[in-house]
Amino acid sequence: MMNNRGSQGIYIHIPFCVKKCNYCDFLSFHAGDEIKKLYIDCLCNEIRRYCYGKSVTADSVFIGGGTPSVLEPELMEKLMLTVRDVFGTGLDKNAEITVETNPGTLNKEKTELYIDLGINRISMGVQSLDDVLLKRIGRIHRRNDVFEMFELLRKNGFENINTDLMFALPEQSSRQWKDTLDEIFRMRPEHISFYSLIIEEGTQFYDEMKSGKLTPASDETDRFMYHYALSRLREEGYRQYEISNSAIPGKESVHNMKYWEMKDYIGFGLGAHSFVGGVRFRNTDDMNEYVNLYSKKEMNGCCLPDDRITGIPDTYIVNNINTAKDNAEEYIFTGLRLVEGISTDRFEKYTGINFMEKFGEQAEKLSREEMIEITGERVRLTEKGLDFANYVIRELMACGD
Amino acid sequence: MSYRDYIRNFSIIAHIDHGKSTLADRLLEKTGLVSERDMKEQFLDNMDIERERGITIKLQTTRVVYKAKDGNEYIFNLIDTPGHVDFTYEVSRSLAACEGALLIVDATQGVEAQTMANAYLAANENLEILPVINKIDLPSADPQMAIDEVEEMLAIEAQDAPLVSAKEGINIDVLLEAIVNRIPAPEGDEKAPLKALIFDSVYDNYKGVIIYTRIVDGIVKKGDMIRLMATGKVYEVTEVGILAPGPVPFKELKAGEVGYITASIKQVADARVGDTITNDEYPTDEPLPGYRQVQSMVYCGIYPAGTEKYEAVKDALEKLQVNDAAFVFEPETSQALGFGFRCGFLGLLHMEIIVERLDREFNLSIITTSPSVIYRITRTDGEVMMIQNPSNMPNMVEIARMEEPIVKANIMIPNEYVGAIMEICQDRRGKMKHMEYINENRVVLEYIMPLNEVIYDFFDALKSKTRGYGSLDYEFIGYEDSKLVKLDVLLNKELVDAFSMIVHESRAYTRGRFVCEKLKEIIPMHQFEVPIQASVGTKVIARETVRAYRKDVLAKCYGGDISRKKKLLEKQKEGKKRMRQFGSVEVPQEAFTAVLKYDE
Repeated sequence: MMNNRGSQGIYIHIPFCVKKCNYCDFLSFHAGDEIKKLYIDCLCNEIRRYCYGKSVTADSVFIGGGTPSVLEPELMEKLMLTVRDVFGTGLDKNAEITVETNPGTLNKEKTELYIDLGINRISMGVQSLDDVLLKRIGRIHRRNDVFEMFELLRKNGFENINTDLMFALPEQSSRQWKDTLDEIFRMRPEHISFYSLIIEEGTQFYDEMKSGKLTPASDETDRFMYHYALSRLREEGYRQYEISNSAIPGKESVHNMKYWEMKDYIGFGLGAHSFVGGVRFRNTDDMNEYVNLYSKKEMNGCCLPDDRITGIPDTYIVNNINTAKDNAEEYIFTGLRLVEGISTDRFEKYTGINFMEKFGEQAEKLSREEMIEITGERVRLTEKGLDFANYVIRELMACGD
Repeated sequence: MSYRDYIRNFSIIAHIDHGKSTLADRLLEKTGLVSERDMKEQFLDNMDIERERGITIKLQTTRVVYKAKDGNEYIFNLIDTPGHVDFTYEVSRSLAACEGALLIVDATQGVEAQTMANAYLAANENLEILPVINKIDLPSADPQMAIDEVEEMLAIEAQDAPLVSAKEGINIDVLLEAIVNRIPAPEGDEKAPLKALIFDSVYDNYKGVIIYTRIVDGIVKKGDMIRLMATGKVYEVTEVGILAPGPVPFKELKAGEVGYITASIKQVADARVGDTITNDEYPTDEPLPGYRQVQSMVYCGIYPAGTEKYEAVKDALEKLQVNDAAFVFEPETSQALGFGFRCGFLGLLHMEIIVERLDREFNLSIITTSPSVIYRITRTDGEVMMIQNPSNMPNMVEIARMEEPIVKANIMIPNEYVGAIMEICQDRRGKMKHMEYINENRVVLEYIMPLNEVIYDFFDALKSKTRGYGSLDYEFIGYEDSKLVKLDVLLNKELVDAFSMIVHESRAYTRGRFVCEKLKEIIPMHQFEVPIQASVGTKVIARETVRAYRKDVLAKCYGGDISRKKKLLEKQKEGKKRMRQFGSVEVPQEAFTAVLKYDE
């Protein structure tokens, strides 16, 4: 069942942070040294046990979080050595290996270690370069940390750096957003992600909004900032390849593309999600349970009993065994996020469904509404459609029933 | 001594929530029928909705045997009555089958509007009324207050009324003895021609209609040819028996007895409540008094929602009608909603019950349009039309005269709310006829009001303004001249007929504004502005606008967690399914009920 569909992506989740940001609803929390050490032990066990007896080939590793850069150097070292040991030659020598970092937790020792471990891409959670805003959204770093760390990374040889930015922050002015973008462009990271703030339930911002202490940015402001960013990115030579991602051509994130192109990826660590051989599955998000599952050193021949139907080790929770319809729907909603859109040929090869037969009528309607553009075998969002991607997806999905 | 001397036929009557069903349970438990083990709470209420709302809609009649202190065994026929103002006629027919009634009064609440209404009904049937003060176990109980109110307000001797707690089973034996001693045994002549009252009927898949009947004179047995005097139809009796409460076949039913008859009758509408059964070969001369045909007072459109099938709704409506003679429907078409049905009900509660049953028992998702009463319209050419669908209202220029149904409403409230309630009554065109202080705390207001105001939101408003302490009873008294207009709603400049309603001229502006405001809250943002307008004729009297949205996009998809994103989109997709498309505007189905809800 675990048929190999090309090289996979490997996601590794580090759920630790110095402090939770006000907008954050990720699986992340503060933890002491003991817990971190125990977690990395379990994580390494999980990776070994999953891969035992399988030949897995991968061309991207993404260590995300949380804040992976909170890990002490020896823990990061243990993790990366385990990955290299387990995958061996299965890990492409040109693989993209990314670590997410917070400028407030990086230092000289860590950056030097990262480059020694073969990490070749850094994703930096900048969010803003305005200290008042950084404080407002609960970040632990300040603008100077960003400049300092960016320089340090460059000095240590990192040639592929992403900066994560956020806009439509509470009380953020257009001026503040323009200034942040200008300063970022001066730094010239290879890749820029730009996310509009979404206030999720269970975050501090959500509570503040409910009690009236926070007024979310209006849709108008949000869209102004988004389209302003798009035009500035174009001017500065970045090519937008996904709704919220732009890069110097050739520096698009290999790992992120796995998600948008429905390619296989394995997620290791607490609450991590995987998509392998058409099956979506995930790890528990309960730390105690996770430790119980993976703390045992002895491998016992290393065989985790596999579920006979899915071939997925039974420590994982199967979310869904994708049907053709699932694949089609997911293909549409991930693929349409890409600026190049979806190829109806590849769509049909992947799902066995002829796109125009099934979705043609609705697609034509959306095309008349100038939401999408159909050229040859490509279906893509228009610039207007970028603002209404959910609407487009819903309209298309509705005719899948 | 005749067999009749050992029969007691009685009902339990009460205001809603005064403990009627609990008391019935207790009586059954203390007599020879139901074991404590089998006892579900509130045995007699057999529908889920009834149980939840604490009201009885369909009757359950039960025969039990009680061994009295005098050493004799008595047969009690406990005839349940429906507990709501919409079912007054049914209540009166059930009472007509009895010699006595237990009038339950809550010792914490005293006499309420329906206590009075039911007591009057019982008095009209010349029943022996036996007051019973219930809930004496509650800390706030004031039995003497309840007794005084019964005596003052209803002029019924109540000093030796049994003081009971149905819930705790206190003094139930006292009550049982009172039933034997105070309620008269039935009279009647089993040798006279058959004369039997239909007081309810239910449909059974195997037996057909089961008629619940009280034999007044004569005898009925299997094989007899019976005639239902109002419809004139003749049937052969296939079975007679008693209700325990399920049917238990007997050889015959005689004068004074209560039981059931089956005769291969196809639907309950053929065995009308209040009709008289006689023997076709040896008939009585005179039917029993009091029969009238039930008349629907409230109408609304019921349409399949979303992907629901028309046939499935039709099928369900037919099944409901088989068991509910008061419910009528016929096909109709709406420009906005397509094919559906115009349905008639006894009142608003009856309507709500049917709608809820469609949802719960048949699992159907439906849209209901604004309820309407029946207006009498006289055209300039002299033709008289009865209009219950706003879409059928003729052009104003063709109308010579308009009349609307009027009711007499009795409203009972604690006196601190008098001002607030007079205000909501006046707002609804009520004319006060009478006001009476029952005691220093409570007041009865008598209003003459248009029925369309009562069915719209009056009950909700009354409950809300009195924190639930107000009670209401109303009866239809006739038609009155009125200045009515048809209020239309336009979405994005297009008329949506399902929102149209007939209102009094003076109310059009307020109602129009309310509907526009509600719809603005409910209709989601579109990619274009959606104007919402209320109009009378060509004149727009209220307007709101739903702003266009500017974005609908997810910022990010975290760590490959597609499932979460998909769930969100699925949810949005489901939401879309619950929408109705009017032109280019999508309207959630709840919009149709929301515009009818009372709002402070």
